[in-house]
Parts: sequence; structure tokens; C-alpha cells
Amino acid sequence: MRTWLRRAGVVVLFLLVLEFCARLDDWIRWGAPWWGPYSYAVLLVDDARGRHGRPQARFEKWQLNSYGFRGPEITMAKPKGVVRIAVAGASETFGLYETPGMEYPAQMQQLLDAEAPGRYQVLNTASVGMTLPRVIQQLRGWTRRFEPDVLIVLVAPTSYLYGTAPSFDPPAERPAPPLVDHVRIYRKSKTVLRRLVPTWIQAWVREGHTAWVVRQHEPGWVWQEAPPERVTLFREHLEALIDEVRSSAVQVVLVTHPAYPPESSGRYRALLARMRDGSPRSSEACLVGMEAAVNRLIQELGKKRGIPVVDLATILAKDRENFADMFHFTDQGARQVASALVKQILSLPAEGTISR
Amino acid sequence: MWFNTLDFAVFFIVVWTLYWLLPLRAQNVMLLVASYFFYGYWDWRFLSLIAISTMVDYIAGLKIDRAATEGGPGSARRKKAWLIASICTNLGLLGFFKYFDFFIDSLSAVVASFGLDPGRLHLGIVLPVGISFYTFQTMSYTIDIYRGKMKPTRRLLEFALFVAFFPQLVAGPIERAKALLPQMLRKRRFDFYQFVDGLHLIFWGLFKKIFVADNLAPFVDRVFGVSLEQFAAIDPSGFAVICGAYAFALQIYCDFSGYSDIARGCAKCMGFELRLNFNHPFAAKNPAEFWQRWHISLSTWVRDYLYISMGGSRRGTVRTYFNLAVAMVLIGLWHGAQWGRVLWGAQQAVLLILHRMLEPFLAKLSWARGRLLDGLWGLAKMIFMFQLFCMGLIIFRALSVGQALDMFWRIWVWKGAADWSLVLPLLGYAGPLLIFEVIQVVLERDDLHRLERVPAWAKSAACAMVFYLLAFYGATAQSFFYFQF
Repeated sequence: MRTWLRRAGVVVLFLLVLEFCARLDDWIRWGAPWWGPYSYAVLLVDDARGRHGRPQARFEKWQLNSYGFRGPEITMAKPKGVVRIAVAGASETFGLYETPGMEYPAQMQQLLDAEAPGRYQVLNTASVGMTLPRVIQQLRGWTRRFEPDVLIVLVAPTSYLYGTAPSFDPPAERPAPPLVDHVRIYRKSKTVLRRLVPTWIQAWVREGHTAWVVRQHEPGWVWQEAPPERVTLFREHLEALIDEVRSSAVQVVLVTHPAYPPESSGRYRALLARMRDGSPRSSEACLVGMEAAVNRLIQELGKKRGIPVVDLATILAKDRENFADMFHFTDQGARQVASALVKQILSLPAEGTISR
Repeated sequence: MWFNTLDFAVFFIVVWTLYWLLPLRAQNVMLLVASYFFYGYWDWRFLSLIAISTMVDYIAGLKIDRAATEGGPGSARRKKAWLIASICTNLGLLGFFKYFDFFIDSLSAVVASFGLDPGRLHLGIVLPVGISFYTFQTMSYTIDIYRGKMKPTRRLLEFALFVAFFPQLVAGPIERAKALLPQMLRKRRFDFYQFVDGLHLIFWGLFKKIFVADNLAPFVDRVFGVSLEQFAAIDPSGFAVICGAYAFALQIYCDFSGYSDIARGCAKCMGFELRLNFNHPFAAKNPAEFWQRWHISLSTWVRDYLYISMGGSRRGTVRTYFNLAVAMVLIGLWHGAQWGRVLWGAQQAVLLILHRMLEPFLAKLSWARGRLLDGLWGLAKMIFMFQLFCMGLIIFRALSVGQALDMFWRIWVWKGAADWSLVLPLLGYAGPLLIFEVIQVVLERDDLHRLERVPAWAKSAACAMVFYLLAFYGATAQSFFYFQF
């Protein structure tokens, strides 16, 4: 009995030391607190403005400034003679896989500084999961205070394929973090396992889970094409955004959404499985169809309302060098995006500002 | 199938599980099939070379012994003929696959003078993985039989397994038949402590490979470059060259000794004992001691089958130096079909010869009195020996002789400024290794698992820390450096 207790003690000690190493590692590398949960959620806050970046928050490589934007410190008052460009969007804009400082808004800043030092300032107002209604709400309640001259919008159409469609309603209260969020080694282990476990196994597990979810619903529940009501909703929200921005005399630039194309490779299958697991109601055809429908809509509205559109969906070469997964960019991909957007910025007519 | 991949982990778990469920004969059959599968996973075509080497040496061993047993006129000639057949077959395979294109390229001027086009003679031969190891291993079998040191085996299955045993097939240790073959022939019993020792060795080997060697590899590439054009663009300072050389020393040590540890660990888990291949080589105080600690299986092979055959140190000083030079140059050539490797071998030969010449005088220099000064003097010699080794590694790693000379020149003139930020990654990755190595050297233990007096809780905590570094800071899987030998 004592032997078994001793062995159990050794195992427990092993796990405790692992957890200690994880916390020490986080503290040294990222300045993470020793106690409490430490996950992406620390970057977000819910208040009267809705859900947005928490000022001065930091989680691993992601660091927010005093205004909850990713990027360097700025002043709310726009410096004289500076053209401010606010970039709004979700995780593609916020930056997930890129090296810090290489997300495309930061690269835009670098390119614009090379072109005209000190003349332009790029604000990354994006946050993960940001939808069009949230962009509008943030614009009304926050972004306009920074007097942007230009607003660039890159929003993911996939947010319109979740169970609950995006809306102007206040975000649902975030549940308390699960107990595992307090175990740092658990989160780190998932990252390592994703790297080690072959992608075909990961795809198989996710596909199995998606199939199980689908079986809980009635036949025909899965969308086989872009659902018309969601496409219509996207259109309404996009029109509302254009109206909001137009009323403030800021120049808006719309961007079509680039995505990693369908192919038969194992890597694509794994990416698709992951995507579908988050949105089990969407078949592959639905995902592809939604991308195409939304991009067509953006082009159409841009032409109709005289708004410049950067067709990233066409410009960005669809290969593994540009895409870290189905929608998010590598450093190189972000560079391509930044270059295309800077080209558009530099061709814009004289700037205007949002009035307070 | 590299040791540091999930594929191998799955393969080994399956093989190990089946192994202990089977009786002896079936174990050996299963191991042989698994070994061929392991080798064929890279390229099934080269299984034919292993098969050729196996059959030729199996038959040669029996014929040599038969000639010796029968005696009579011509027996000595028959013995020698079969030995030559074995050596020629193995060296022929090695020479063709590893050195043919090298010699054609090196002798292109001579080839052209005969009216032949060297370009057309260059065959672009693919180097079979591990050929330098298993050919040497099988040659040692026939040579030992010829010398009367052992009897041949009639068990083809076990002999084939001795040649192709997967833990040590592709990058050593180069085993002697006298040591390994009897283990193949006798029953193995599961020993829990041997199994745990094996796991410890695998764990430590993976740490050296994944955390130290694979993380230092990009650092080394950033100094040496992967092409001469890139090196010219990098334009490293003298300080950077030194850091790069140190990093490469640690990389190659951890890569190779890590592989050896994993090989020994896997073998231990199945009840086999493979020889120690690295015995803290950076603790060596002179070149002779270094080669008793570094790649022991190769250095002892060359000593026993080449150096001693040439007369060793029994035929006078000049002949001894000559034999040393030949042995070391061939060791250099064994490491790769490149003139840089030959030069590296020559540099090692010069060090060994100089050491022999100066040893009597150095012994008289023992001015250190007392344990502390003696220790400091020993440490100074270790550090000096490490510098000499690293100098040689610049020649070894450089992409050309010209690049090596350039790098020495950069150190000599101290080109550029010292960038101390280069030291940080070096210490960061090598630091934990150095701590454990120093502990082992000071305690004079051969392997980590022999730290019996350390309490279980301390070992558990240390394992957890090493595991953390391995799991979360291990680089992505890279091939083992010695695989292409």
C-alpha cells in the first residue's frame, strides 16, 4: 500500500512540476499572472460598448494598447496632418498565426511608413469573432472618437453560418471559464497534440463529432448551399454599415474575403473538418457557396454605392504560403494583403473625418 | 522513419507489444520482419543491398570456418579468398553507392584527359541510409571469424537479424557479432528495471535530439548558411563563427548521441544490450581520450580492423604515425564523400600525432598540486580540447574548403563586432544538457539512469522539467545528421 501511495505521489509531483513549469514559462515569456485562468478570454471585455478588446490586456503574443486595439500606443486625438486608417474585422484582421507585428494592419503601417513616414496611422480595431453588427456598434460608440479618415472592413462570412446569426443584440453573457482553463498545462498540451497527431486523425475525429451533431437534428437540417436568409441578413448589415460610415463622411473600403480553396489534400480535409465542427450545419458546398455569395454581394454593393472594393479573394494567391488555415494568413499572406490595401489607400482621394 | 516521429512511436509500441507476447524463435522472426519494414519505410529498393551483404557474409563466415577446420593445403588461401570476397562485397557496395560520384567529380580532370565526359559518368547515385554502418558491422563478423576470435553461426535468421536489427541499423552503434549475436540466440526475459532503464535512455535521447540538436540546427545554418551564396549574404563575424562552431559541436553531439541513446533504449526495452557509443566526449583532455569517448563503436572498429592490421604502434614511430594518419583520414572519408571530411580526418590525425609526440613532455608539466589545482588544470585541458574539436568541426561542416578557410580567417582577424545576443540561444538550449552532463561526469556515471541515490521525488521533478522542455520547446522533427552516412 505504501509503495502504491509513494508511486502515486511521484506521479502527482510530476504533474505539479509540469504545471509549475507551464506557469513559470508563461510568466517569463508573456508576463502572465501566476494565478487564475489564462486564456484568450483575458483579451476581451463586455461593457456598455459591447464586447471589445480589454485595454492593456495581454495574452501570449497578443498585446493590446490602452484603447484595446492590437498595436502600438496611440493618442485618441488624431495628430495633425496624419491620415488615420481604421481596419475592422475579425480574427483575420486581428491576426492569429502571424509573428507579432506581421498581422496585415501592422504590415500596412510598415509599408505606409516606407512610402510617407509619419503621414499615416493604421489602427487595428479588430477582435476575434467580430461581426458586422459589432463593427457598426464599435464604430458608433468608440472608433469614431479616433477620427479615422478611412475605414477598411474585412468581415468573415462564416459568422453568418453559426447557430445564432449575428445581430445587434448585446452579446450573450460569457460563461465562467471551465475548470480546465485554470490548468495551464492542459491548454499547452492541446497545442502539442495538434502538432503531433496526424491531420487525418484529427479530421476523422472532428468529422465524427460533426456527424454525431447532425444526427441529433431532423433530416435536411444541414445547409447544402448558402442559406438565402443569411445572405440577405449579411446584405442588410453591410448596407447598414455603409450608411453608418457614409453619414460620418469617412471613406470606407470594402474587402472581399479570401479563403483557402477546396482541394483533395489531407490538409484541406483537416481544415474543413475543423471549420465544420464549429458550424456543423454548413456542408462544404454551403461554406464555399457562402464565400462566393458574400464576395459577389460586396462587389455588387461597392459598385452600386460607389465604394472602392479590394478584391482580395482574387488577388491573394491561394496557396499554403499565404494561408495558415482556411481563412487566416501567414506572415507572407498578410504581406500580400497589406500591399493590396496600401495600394488602394494611396489611390484614394483627399481624406475626410468623422465628426464627433 | 525517424526515431523522433509519431510513426516510429506507433511502430515501436506495436513491435514491443508483439515481441513480448511471442516465444523466442517467433520473436526473432517478428523482429527481422519489423527491421526490414523499418528500413524499407525509407526505400524498399535498398533492402536488396542488406540482403546481399547478409548472404555474402553468412556464407563467407561458414566457408572461412570450414577452411580453418578442415586445414590442409590451400586452407589458408581459401580462408583469405572468402575474407576478401566478404570485404570486397561490402566495400564495393559502400564504395559504389557512397563514393563513386565523389571520385568521378574529384578526378574529372583526369577522366577528361582520357577523352571521357565526367558529366556523363556522374550517376547521381542515391546514398542508401545506414550503408556505412551495416557494412562495417557485417565485415567485423567475417574478420573475427578469420582471426579465430569467434565461430560462425548457422542460424541464418539470427544472423540476418544481427545485420538488420532496427534500433541500430541506420546510425549505429556498430555492434560486434561476438556481443550481439549471442543475445539474438538466447531467450530474453522481461526485466522491469531494464525496461525502465530503456525508457530513461529513450527519453534522454529524445531530449538531446528534439530540444538541443533540432533547436540548434537553424542557428548553425544561420552562421554557416545552406549555400555558399547564402553564406556570402550572411557575412558572419568572427564571434558568430565561433558561436556557430560551438553550436554545431553541441548539435552533432546531441544528434548522434541522442540517436545512440534511443537505439540503446529501444534495444533495452526488448532485452538487448547495445554498446555505449558516447562517453561524455567533451570531458576529454586530449585527442586520444576524445576518440575513446566519441563514436566509440567506429573508433574501436577502425582500431581493431584497420589500425592494428596495419601494424598499429608495433612497427616504429614513423609507421605508427602513418597508420594513425591513414586511419583518421579514412574515418573522415567514412563521414562523407567530401574533401572537407577528408581534411577533417587529416586534422584529427595531426592532433593525435602531435599528442603522441608531446605526451612525454606534457606529463612532465604536471605542476598542479592539490585537488583544486588538479581539477582546474583538468578543466583547462578539457576546454582546450573542446576548442580543437570545434576548429575541426568548422572544416567538417563548411560547404567547401574555401568556406572553411574563410571562416578561420574571420576568427583570425576578428572580423566584425561580438554580438552577445548569439550566446543566449546557445546557452538556452545547451544549458540543461550541460548541467546534466556535468553532474554525470562529476559523479562518474555512465548513464543518467544510474543516479540511484537521487530520491524519487527529485528524479520525478527533474523528469518533469526535462519533459516540459522536450514537449513544448522541442523543434519540429528533423532527420538525424548521421542518417546519410
